[in-house]
Amino acid sequence: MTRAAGLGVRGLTVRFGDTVAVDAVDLDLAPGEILALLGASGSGKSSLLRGIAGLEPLAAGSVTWAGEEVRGIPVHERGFGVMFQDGQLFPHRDVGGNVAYGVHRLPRADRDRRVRELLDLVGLAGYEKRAITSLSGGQAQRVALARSLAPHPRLLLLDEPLSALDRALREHLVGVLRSTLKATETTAIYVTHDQDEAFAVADRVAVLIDGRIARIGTPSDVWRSPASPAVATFLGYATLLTPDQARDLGWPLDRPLDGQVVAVGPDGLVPTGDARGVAVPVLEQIDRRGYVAIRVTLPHGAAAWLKAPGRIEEPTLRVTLDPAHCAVVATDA
Amino acid sequence: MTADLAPPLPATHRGRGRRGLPWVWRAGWTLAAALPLAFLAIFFAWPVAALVARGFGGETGATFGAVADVLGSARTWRILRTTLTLAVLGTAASVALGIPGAYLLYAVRFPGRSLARALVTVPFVLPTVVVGVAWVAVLGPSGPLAFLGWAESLPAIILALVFFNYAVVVRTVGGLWGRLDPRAVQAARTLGASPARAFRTVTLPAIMPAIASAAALVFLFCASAFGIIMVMGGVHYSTVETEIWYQTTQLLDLPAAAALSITQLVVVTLALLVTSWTSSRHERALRLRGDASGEHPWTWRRDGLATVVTAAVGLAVLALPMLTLVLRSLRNREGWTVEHYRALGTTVGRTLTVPVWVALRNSLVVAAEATLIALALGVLVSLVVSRRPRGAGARRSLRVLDALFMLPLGVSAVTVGFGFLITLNRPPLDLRQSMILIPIAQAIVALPLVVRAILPVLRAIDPRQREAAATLGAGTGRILRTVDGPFLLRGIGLAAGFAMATSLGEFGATSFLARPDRPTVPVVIFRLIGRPGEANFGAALAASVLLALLTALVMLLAERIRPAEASEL
Amino acid sequence: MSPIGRFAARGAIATIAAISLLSACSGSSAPTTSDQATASTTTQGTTSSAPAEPSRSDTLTVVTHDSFALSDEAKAKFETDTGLKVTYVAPGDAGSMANQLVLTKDSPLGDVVFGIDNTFASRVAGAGVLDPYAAAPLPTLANDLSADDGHLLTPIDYGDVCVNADKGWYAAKNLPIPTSLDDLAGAAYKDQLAVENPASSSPGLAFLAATVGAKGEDGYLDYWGKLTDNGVKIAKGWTEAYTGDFSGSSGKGPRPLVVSYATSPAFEVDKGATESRTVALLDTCFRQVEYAGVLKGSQNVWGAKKFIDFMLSKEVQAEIPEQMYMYPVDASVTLPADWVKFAPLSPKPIAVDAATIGAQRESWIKDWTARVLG
Repeated sequence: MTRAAGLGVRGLTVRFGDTVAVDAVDLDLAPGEILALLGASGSGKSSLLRGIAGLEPLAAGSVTWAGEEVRGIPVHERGFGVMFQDGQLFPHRDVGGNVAYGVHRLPRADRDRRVRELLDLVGLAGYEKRAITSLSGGQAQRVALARSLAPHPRLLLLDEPLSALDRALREHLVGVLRSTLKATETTAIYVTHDQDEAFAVADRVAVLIDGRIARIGTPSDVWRSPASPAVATFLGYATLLTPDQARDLGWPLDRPLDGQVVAVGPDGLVPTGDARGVAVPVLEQIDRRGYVAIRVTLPHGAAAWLKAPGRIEEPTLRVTLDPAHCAVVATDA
Repeated sequence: MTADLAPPLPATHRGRGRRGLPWVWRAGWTLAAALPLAFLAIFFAWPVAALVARGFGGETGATFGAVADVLGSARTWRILRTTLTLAVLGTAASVALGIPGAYLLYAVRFPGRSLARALVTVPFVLPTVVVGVAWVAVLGPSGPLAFLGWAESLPAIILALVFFNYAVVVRTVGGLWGRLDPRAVQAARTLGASPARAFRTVTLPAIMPAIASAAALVFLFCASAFGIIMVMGGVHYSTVETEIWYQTTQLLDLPAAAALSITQLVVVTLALLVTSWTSSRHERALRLRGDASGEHPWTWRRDGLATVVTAAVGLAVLALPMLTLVLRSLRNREGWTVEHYRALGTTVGRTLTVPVWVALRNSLVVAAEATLIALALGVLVSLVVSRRPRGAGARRSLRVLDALFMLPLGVSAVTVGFGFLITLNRPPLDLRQSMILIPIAQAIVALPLVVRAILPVLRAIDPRQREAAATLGAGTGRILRTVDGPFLLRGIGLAAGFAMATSLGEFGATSFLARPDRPTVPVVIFRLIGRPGEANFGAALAASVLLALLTALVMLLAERIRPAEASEL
Repeated sequence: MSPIGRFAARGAIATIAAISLLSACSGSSAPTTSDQATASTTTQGTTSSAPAEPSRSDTLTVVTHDSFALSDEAKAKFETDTGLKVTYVAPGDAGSMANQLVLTKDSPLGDVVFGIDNTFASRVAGAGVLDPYAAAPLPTLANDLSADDGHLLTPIDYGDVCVNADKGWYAAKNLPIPTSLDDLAGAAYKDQLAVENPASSSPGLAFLAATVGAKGEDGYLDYWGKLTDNGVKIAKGWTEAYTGDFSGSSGKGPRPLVVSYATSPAFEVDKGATESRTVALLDTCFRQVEYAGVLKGSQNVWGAKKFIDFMLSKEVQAEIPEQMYMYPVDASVTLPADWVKFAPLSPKPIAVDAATIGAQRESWIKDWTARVLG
């Protein structure tokens, strides 16, 4: 059942020889929606993106826009823009020439206005005549964004656009990206391996594991119920506990665990500060901004991290689980 | 400036950083430029200058009058016009037809590609006399293309020029094309560019330096083509090259030859200036893939047109004469036979002084020597020319240096050969009777090709890679080894193949220098085909086929010498 | 980065400057060359002042053309007999070789030359490139082939350049094979003759000389005008004409008449056949003679003279037909059976003396080019 508007992907499969990179993926995207495609490297997320763009031949499946099949349409007529990881700016054109590349059919005045508008939008007003080589990494990516938005793509595919940049710049540019995409009401798929980036930029997040979508939903839904241990682990739930192990650590008895496992989030294990909880040996303490990260050994032998307001003097620490920061996940089997 | 901005280096690195480039390296770079230049000066500039000077000065005092006569005659201008027309048309046709070939054979993956790449190189080394006979057989009254009526016409010469130079374009341009980052084109496509526009606006600017480089080479080859123009054009097309040959070897009219040589130098220099200007306009660090991921598997939709064009050129222009050659080498008056091949083990009656296989061994030894010389000098020249100094003056002199090594291709082998006679005639350079002159002369001809093969690859290295290496503590030597080195190795296979092939097929200079008792294969072929009788003719064709096979083999091996490409994801 | 480039560039500039210096030097090197040459001749003069004791060394350099061939056995025998180490140099065709000898007379390419033909003989002899040597006269000299009275050139071999015809072609057309130069200009033989360009080919020049000899200096251009009107085809060289144009060769070209050698029919005999497929028209022949000579300034005059004697020896004379496709000057040598049958010499070759050819060659070629090629 294809939605009337937006992107519809059905059974999309990409193969490289005998390797299946993308395995029969279904995906729907409403107009104006931003979907983050999250996955570890090698999970097939870039192949999926390139498959949708038409840059990679499909072994099977269909891609539709507004209910219309686009598989036979050549890349340049699809109206699907791609922003590449390293920008792929054309070194033989200046900034303005790069941004104008996709709108060369517009009359000169309109074209110049569009270039100005977009450079303005990405915070690089007045950069038209600058050489590509004179740009910093962040500026180059902003030009790349402006360039890919200039022709009003009906769908923009962003392939790890910020992964080459430093963390502070990345956090800043994620904001710029989201606000720009929203301001231009652009439908977008944003491929990344960075969970924070995905959650910050997207309306919905899809987690890709081994070429299949393992979980899709709003950032908070996906975070709260990762649906599988693999997704939970990938999202940053550091420790998985069997029902018995969870109960040992103080899992409330009113929350029955029927063959499910407990995925402990970054704040899932907390020091009790009193006699409650289980005493565990402290292995290591590291000062962080505003808290101390403490590594402990859990009763069943696994190591886990938890946060404390200050350093612990004793060799042991009493801890318990905070169900609000844990997720209950059905086992794969 | 870089040092000021750089983070403090560990103590071990600091001293070196402050001192700048150690004198050893300064001396090294100077030597790297000086060595090939000295070679060029001794074995090219000096002989040519001496012969031209003899023409101007002579023993009878200044003869500028004779030179003025030559330059003032209508015949000279007609010859110049013919030369330019043929060179421009030959270059245009070779480039236009070669570009689809470069794409298909280097940017597209399909079974049998290595073989196809090797086969297109074969014509490049075939002796012109044999090619002439093959083409006459194809275009002549009883040939398969007789209906075109092109025998002894301009189109016939152009066809033959394409036949020889197609490989130069395909290899030079393809070598770069196969390693272009495909995402640049993809970026253009996702911005709405049709395949044609993406080619025009992204691929073409990226491969332009290689095209300019190939065009310059082909222009020089066409402008100085000797045998092929006479064979294909009958006697109606005289070029500057054939005229120099005639004035020098047959009339010893040195003033006239000097005037023509100057004319030739001017034309060649102008062509090189245009090329240098074109490539510097397009020159920039390209994003190259170290692996072959710029290639994609063959699809009819995307590659159909290039396939059709390349197949048409391959069959009609390259394969037809070569097939004619093979078929004729297997026939005698009675029918099919291998007797011509059997004759290669003999002296073919008593026409030859040595069996053909001995000539083959001579050829291989000479080719190996020539390849070594050309590679050693070519690597030095490429390394020097690929530097990117800050000063405009320094950059310009590097371009001049680059162009200097192209000059030998555009200057008549006769001028160089006769120049040798009056310069290299005294100790310590009394080399006129030395066998080493053959590989040296061939190396000079092959050197520009070696540089053309290596330079684009070195130039395409992002200078930041060298900077990155430097900031990682690598000295000049380590940067050369670790950054330039791997790229250099990739270019060297192709360069060695070209050098070897050039040497194997070289006839012009060799014919002046070869000893009757130590002939190379082209010399033997020339001798065989210069004698009447079926046995000689058949053996000449069989030897040509052998030479062609050998060349194909060399080029196949050259492809293999390239280090294993990184496996694709 | 930048310092590397800058220094490299500076080095390059320095070296370019060095090159221009070098070429500047070479510009002025011509007089130096002759000075040294003069010096060396003087030295030699003193050495050879002891009479009948020509200069001698262990090596001998033989300058020859690219058609030269001699068996290894013969060479080995000469080396054993004389104790000399022989090196051949062959710097191009006969014309190139002759002109190179003139160019390098101050510093000769070798000690002895073989392969100067009668069309270049007077140029080489007149340029002062050779020293005289009177070889012992052969007991049976085939013809009077000597080029000059000064003993500068010793005849070694000779042959005839004649129009060759494809017998089968004429038999099929039921047309008589032409016999004379005039026949070739006749309407019946339109578009049948291929001739080499005399500017670039030695048989071409020989045929031009034949037409001058037959028609006179006043008449030969008119004759060529008739040939042109009759569709003569001009090819660059012998290979192009014989292999490319001639129907009687293995190249199977379109034309049944070509300028080649009187010996060529001997190589166009099918296996087991009693007749050649082609025939030389013996009334159209020009006689080519090849000479040897001692090069002036040779470091080994003794060896040079020995080599000329050797070229006249029985074993070399006997090798000449098969190795070089020419007739030996020694008439007592047994010729190959095929030659006796299929390759007779012309009984009355068209004669032009070497001095006339030497004096007129360039103007003939120039006038011929203007008339025939336009």
